[in-house]
Order: sequence, then structure tokens, then C-alpha cells
Amino acid sequence: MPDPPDPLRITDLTRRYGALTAVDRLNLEVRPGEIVAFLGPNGAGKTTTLRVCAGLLRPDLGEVLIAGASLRGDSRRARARLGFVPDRPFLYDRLSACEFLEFVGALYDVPGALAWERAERLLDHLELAEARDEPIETYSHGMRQKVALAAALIHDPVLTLLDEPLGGLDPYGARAFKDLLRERAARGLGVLVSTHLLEVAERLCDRVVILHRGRVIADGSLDELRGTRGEATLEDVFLELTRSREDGSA
Amino acid sequence: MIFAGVARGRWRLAQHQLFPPARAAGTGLGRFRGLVGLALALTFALLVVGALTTVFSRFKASGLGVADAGGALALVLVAAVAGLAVFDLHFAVSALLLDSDLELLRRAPLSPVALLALKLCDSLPRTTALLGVVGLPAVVAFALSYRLPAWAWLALPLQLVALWAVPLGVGIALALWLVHVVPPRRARDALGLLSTLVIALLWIANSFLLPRLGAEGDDLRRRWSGALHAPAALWVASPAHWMAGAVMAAHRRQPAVALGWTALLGLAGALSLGAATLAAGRYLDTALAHAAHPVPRRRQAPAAATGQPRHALRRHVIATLIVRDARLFARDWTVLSDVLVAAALWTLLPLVGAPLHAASPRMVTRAMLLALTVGLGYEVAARSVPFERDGLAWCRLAPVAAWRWVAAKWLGAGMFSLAMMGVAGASLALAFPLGPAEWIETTIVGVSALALSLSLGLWTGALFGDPGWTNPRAMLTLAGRLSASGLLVLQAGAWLGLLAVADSQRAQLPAGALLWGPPVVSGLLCLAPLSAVARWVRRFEWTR
Repeated sequence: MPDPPDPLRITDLTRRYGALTAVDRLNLEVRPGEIVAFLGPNGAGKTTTLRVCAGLLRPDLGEVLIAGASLRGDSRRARARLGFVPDRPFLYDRLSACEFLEFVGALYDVPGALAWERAERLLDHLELAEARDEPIETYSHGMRQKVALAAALIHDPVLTLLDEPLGGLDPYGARAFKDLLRERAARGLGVLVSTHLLEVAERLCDRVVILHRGRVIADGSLDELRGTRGEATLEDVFLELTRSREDGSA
Repeated sequence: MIFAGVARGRWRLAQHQLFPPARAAGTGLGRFRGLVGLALALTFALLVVGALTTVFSRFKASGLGVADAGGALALVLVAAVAGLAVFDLHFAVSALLLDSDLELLRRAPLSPVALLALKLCDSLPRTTALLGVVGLPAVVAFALSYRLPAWAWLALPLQLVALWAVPLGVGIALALWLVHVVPPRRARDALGLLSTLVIALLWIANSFLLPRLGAEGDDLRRRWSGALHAPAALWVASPAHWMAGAVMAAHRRQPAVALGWTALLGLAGALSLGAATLAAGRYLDTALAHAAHPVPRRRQAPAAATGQPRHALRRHVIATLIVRDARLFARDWTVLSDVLVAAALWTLLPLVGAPLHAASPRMVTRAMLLALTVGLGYEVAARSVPFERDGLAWCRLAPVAAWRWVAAKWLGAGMFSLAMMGVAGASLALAFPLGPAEWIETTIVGVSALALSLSLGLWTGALFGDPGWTNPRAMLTLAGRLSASGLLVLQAGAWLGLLAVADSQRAQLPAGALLWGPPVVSGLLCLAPLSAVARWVRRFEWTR
């Protein structure tokens, strides 16, 4: 039996905004069972990359394959295989969490009973069960983030993309969030998470990709990135790599 | 605060509204959104100048005096001020309470009054638009028939600023007080309802005026002269009438009188801004704190776990989208009530003009149904796109074919609109005794017009929808509202014209042409806007 395709494979991705090249010939893959941290200073191109992979922005050049399906050539199949948690959740304020998850499940063609079962499990796990029938407009920022994660996972995607997912979450919520991601990796599914919380990246992720001015400047496990830096933390490595690039380009 | 530095920053922001930076604009038409809006606004202003120049020159030709023309000018200015209150006051209040830079501005050592001033400047392009495209052109048209001296033009900017300040200052003061005492969502609902009520009241007032103008058996001079002599109360209480008074006095070369009206207007503007300043000093901090928090949650008992799936059957994706839209719509009572009121007003609109043309019951019924159906394209279909707000991103994220999304939107809007059309049709059937054949023809034409107007409405909503809307009456950008208004007039005119031609040529037409002709025409014309919407769904970029 052939190996399953990588959950995400990006080849030579380029995206420009007018004269500004936000993502420049980016190559990146997320392998089955991997949680990859996507790091970079503000304006490095992380959100643009994730939004291109989610289909919200169009690439100028390059190819994005989601579990083997091309986002350009086989868009619907590719989109069916990914879940996306944006930095600002796409929710309907006047629906309840249950109604919203039922809606998203139907968009992804998840049978009603199965969607219901998954929604119940996710809402329980994320401690939202008590508020599940209340309108989302009454939720706090953290609760909204949890609904966005539940919506991204309701169809059990091969790849989950997360853009700054832990903002506004309390320690319980953050733990539940991380547990869900670990569980997915254990099942051989892929996760790409963009975050500025380097401790989280250090503890949660198998691999770290650092982006700077639209280009990958480092890609590897924490040990590989440390190299000869001894006991350096991810923060040390990140600052050293990005600063040296800044100095080099100055 | 260093005024020049802050002013420079706000000027750059205004520039970015007109010429959005690449990252915010995405690709395609988005880059030219500001310029398209400006071009449409200019076109609309020229149209207003043209139309009102014709009106004023007819006045002059029929011997009407400057007092009558001034009355007409006052009415146009009232409409511009009312439009500002209905469509754009929300924008200024939202800028003051919800803008993304408020966190930054609140941390700066700015007084609430300085913050108010900054946000009033930010909202200038939007809040001055109606005075720019209606108020100013009306004065220009007036001056083309009734000459104004040079000093009148020098006073005009001051008068327009004062006229702008009156509704805005009072409105902001009331809104701040409202958000201070009730949750922001309730305040938003209340302002939305106020907008709807203002529209309804204006419409009702208008429906008394137009039949008087159109009454038969009288000459133009007597009719207009009677209708345009506003009640004395309006000259006492309406700033738009004060401005018209100043313009009339300028034409009569009475500088002292003109100065008096201008001073009164300026005083009202200053008092109104003073009220806003006072309210900002008192209520802005608490209002901002209220606006920063979501609607309070009601504590509920945990839902009993049934252990049973609520929807064991798979639901088709089109049905899912329709159900979602229905739920959202039914739960937003400000939008729902606004649509229902607007639908009633659209239906009644032809009744206002009926005395002008001595129309037959069949023509009136047709016109009423057509006014409703073309109106629903804007009221329901165009709004259904931005109505989703950030949820609109799901049409790019989810693996749903573009044509399915378009079909769901069109069908959902169609089902809701047909229900309203059914109610209107039943009411008309009671009021106008038409034969079965006439009813079938009228209904077929109405449904055909509805299909086309919904398609055009979806296209307008996709292109000009503003997902960050705060006012139910302004879910489209200004350019969108101008385009939608143009399309409404075009559709109504085209359908009524086609039917008039068909009626006059009935003997030469093939059998049953009025039964199959309109659906065929409408079906063919629907294809272009619907495929444009599908293309938009496939290609638009989510940059919010």
C-alpha cells in the first residue's frame, strides 16, 4: 500500500500585494503525524501563507497540495481536506454553537448524525457544552476561538491550519486546544500552527519553520535548529536567526 | 496633541480609503473601489443638477416666483439631511465606538472631545456624501435659474457645514447617551429602527405632497405654488428651510436677511456640535467600555443531553445555506422590520404617482407589483450577501461549488420575496377588481421581474456589499447604493415600457406572448448577473 500523501506540500509559493512580495518562492511540507510551528516576525508572511493554503487568497505563483489534491486544479477536494482556524474567527453571531457546527458539518458533507456526535464531543472537550445553545454573540473571545476550532475539526480534516489560535484562551482552554492537536497528530494527521508564543511552539511542535520576509530561513526540529548553540531556547534561536537576517539586509 | 501631525495621519487614512493599499484591496475591482465610488458620486451629482435645473427652469417659465423655487430647494435639502440621518449617522457613531484604532487613540492623552473631533473627521467622506451629491447640486441648479451674487457662494460652504453639523451632532449625542444606558446591540437596534421610521415618515409625508402636485384640473403654477408653501412651523424648525431662506434672500439681494438665516443655521450647527461635545465628555468613556464587551450572556441551565442526533438525515448543502440565511434573518429584527417596511413602501409607491397619469386599475396593480419586485432585488438579494458579515468567508473556505452557493442565495431570497409578493398580491386583489386573465398576466410579469431583480441584486451585493455594515439601510457602500438605485429605476422603467408596448401591439403579438414572453426575457437576462456572481465567488479574496 503506497504511503499517504503529505497533508500539506507547498512548492514555490509566491504572493504579492502590489509592489510588496509577502511570500517569496516558499517551499514547505507538513508530513503525516507532524505538528509544525510556523514562526516569524510581524509581517513575515505567515498569515498570507495560511490564507493562501486555506483558499482565501490566490497565489501569484506556485502550487499548494492538500493531501495530494491541488488547491488550484482540484480546489473542492483540497478544501474538503483542510480545516482552518483564522486569527479572527468567521462566525455567525446570531447562531448558537450547535447550529453553527451543524451548518459547517453540512457544508463539508458530514452526515447529520456523525456531525452531531463530533460536535457534542468537541464542545464537551472544549468546555463549551453549557453554552452550546446560546447565540455566539454572547461568547467571550476565548469561547469564540474554541467554536472556530470545533468548526475546523468537525469534518476531521487531514490538515489543520491555525493562525494565532491561543489568543484569549485561559489555561484550561489552551490545554484542551493543545490536547486536541496532539490527538490529531497521533492519528497521523497534519497540523500547521502559526504562533508568537515560542514556549508553546517549543513544547507542542515536532518541527519549527521560521519565515522572514516571505522566505523560509530555518526548518527543522528544535535540536536541529539549535545546532551548535548548546542549550539555547527556541526564543534564543529565533531572535538570533531573524536579527542576523535584519542586520544582513540593512 | 500636535494638531498638524494628527491631521497628517488622518489625511493619509482618507487617501487610503480612496486608493486602498494593495494588501487591503486584494485584486481586481477592489483596488479601484474608492475611485469607482467617486465617479458614481460625481455622476449622481451631475444627474441631480440636470434634473433640478429642468424643474427650476420650468418653474421660472410658468411664472412661479423665487419663494416657490425656494420651497422646492428646501424640500431637496430636507431629503439630503434626512438621508444623512438615515444612512450615514450610523457610520459616524460606529467610527466613534467601534473603529479598530480606538485602542490606540484611547491610550493616547486625548480628551473625549478631541477623540470626537478626530472621528468626525474620519467619517467626513461618508457623512458629507449626501450633501455633496444632493444638497450642493440642488443649490447649483437653483442658481442656474435664479442668479446668486458672488457673496452667496462665499457663504455656501459655511451653510453646508452647518447643515451637516445639525443632524450629526444631535444624532451622535443621542447615540452616545443611548449606548451609555443600554447595551450596544440594543442601541444599534434602536438606531436601525429609527432609520426605518424616518424613511417611513418621509415616505408618508411625500405621499401627501405628490398627489397634490399631480391633481388634475389645475394649472402647474397653482398646484406647485400651493404645495411648496411650507407650513410656517417648518420655517421655524427646519435647518434645511433656513438654508433655503438664505439662498432665496441672496437671490433677492437682501444680504441682511441672508446673514440672519445663515447665522441661525450656524448657531444650530454649533449648538448641535456642542451637544455632541457635551455628550462625549460625559458618556464617551462608558459608551466605549460598553461597546468593547459583547452582549451579556444569560445564565441557562445546562441543556439536557438527549443522546439522540437532532438531524440524522443528511441535508442538502443548498437547503443548509437557505436554512442558515433564514435563521440569521429571522433573528435580526431590525433588518427584518426594515425589509418589511421597505417592501410595503415600494408596493405603495406607484399609488403616489397614480393621480398624475389617471392610470387604470390594471396599470396601477402592475406598477405596484413591479415596484415591489424590483425593490426586493435591493432590499433582500443585495443585502443577503453582506448580511453574512465575516461568515461570508465560508463560501471560499468550504468545498461548495460556486453555483450552489449562488443558487442557494437566489432561492433563499426568492422564497422570502415570493412570500411578500403573495401578501401584496392578495391585498391588491381585494383592492382592485381584475379578471383572472389579467391577474395571471400580472403575476407572471411580477415573478419574471422578481427573478431578474434578485439576480441583479445578488450581483450588486457581491460587488458592493460591506460586511462591516452597522446600519441595516446601508449594507452596501455608497457606490453600491447609487448603482442599486440606478438599476431599480432602469428595471422598473424597462418592464413598464415593455408592457406598454406589448399592450399597444397586443393584436400583432403571437398568442399568449404576455404569458411566455416575460419569463423568457427574464430567464435570459438573469444568466449574465448570476454567472458574474458565481465568478465572483470563485475569485474573490478575503482580506478582512
